[in-house]
Amino acid sequence: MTVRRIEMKLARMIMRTALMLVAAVVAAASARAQMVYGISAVVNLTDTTISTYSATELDYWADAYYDAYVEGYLFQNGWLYGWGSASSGSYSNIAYGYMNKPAIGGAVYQIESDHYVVAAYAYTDPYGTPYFSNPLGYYFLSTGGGSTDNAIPFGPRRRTDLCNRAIRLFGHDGRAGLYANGAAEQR
Amino acid sequence: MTMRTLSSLFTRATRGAVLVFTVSALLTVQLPGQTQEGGAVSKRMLYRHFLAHVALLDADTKPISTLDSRRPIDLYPSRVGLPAAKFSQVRAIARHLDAAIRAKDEQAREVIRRFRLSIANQQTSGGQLPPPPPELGDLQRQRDQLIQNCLDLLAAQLGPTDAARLDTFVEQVFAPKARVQRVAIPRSYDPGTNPLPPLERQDK
Repeated sequence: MTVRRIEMKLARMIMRTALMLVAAVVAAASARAQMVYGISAVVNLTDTTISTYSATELDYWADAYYDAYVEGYLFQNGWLYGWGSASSGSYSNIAYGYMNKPAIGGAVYQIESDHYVVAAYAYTDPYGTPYFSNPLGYYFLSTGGGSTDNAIPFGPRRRTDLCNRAIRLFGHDGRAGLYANGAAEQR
Repeated sequence: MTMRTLSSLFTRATRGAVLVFTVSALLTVQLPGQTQEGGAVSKRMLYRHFLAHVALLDADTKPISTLDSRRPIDLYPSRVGLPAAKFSQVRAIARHLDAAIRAKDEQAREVIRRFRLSIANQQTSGGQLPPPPPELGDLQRQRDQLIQNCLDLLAAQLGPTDAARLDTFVEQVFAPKARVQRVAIPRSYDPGTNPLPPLERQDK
């Protein structure tokens, strides 16, 4: 074996080790993603029927510390036309639901969903003041407005049960809309 | 080859490897508590939720109205632009995925339930919470793979033309504004290993 071949072999071995280390780092980083997904959809099934979908879904790492909660608001020509909420409770990692509604030709429909994570761990200090643990440091990301207290449930739990444990991540700006006649509109 | 040549080669290669490793680590690892917003949701997750919507509507037996006895799910094929027979394959896969995900979530739920019970003490004292159990990583990968398998099956069953049509619907009509938030686990405060000096006081 020539000197050159030994050099090449050695260099290849070292570079291979480096690549494996890089792969390990990438794998470690992606393996603990703590993802929260917020999905809103409104579909005009026909000119006279629309269907909405709202979901907040946590991956399993985030689900170890939080529950999911979602509120969906359907607007017809800018006016509130339907609403609902859903909670994952402590038995699931997804809060989701849908609304089917009659539509009027020519009207504009928009779905707005507010996506929350709900701290699963709460405790009180010696004075009885309640706190919740937010170990992943989630915080509200986007501005928005709108009432959040009068939603009817898709699922078993209302927002009023969540007290101060719910952290709204984003919503009321991830807006998808459509005209009932089928022309899509995005804001 | 002399020992000097070998040593020099090894040093150079090691330096290069360390540099590559460090740069990669900096590029891929988020800082503690750092939040990334607005990342595009993967096609896999978009489909997961589209199929969840289909499964929800499939389970809804209510007619559209008193005047129209069709169910909302019956209207979906024409909206997507697929023949009813092709869309029935979508419905079957949606039901299959829904059941498979529920089963996987049950497995994860049991791990999370045990984890939550194990840290009941920290919960009451407000102490730092431990990291999630590593087995959740395997379960998450299996869950992702379940979804991917269904996507592959869907594409195979629909064929390239109808699969492309469904892609367009899911990505451009169903949830074009889907968003994702990603955070890293924040650094915990430990006075023992990271003592902070007292802040300056105004009344000194």
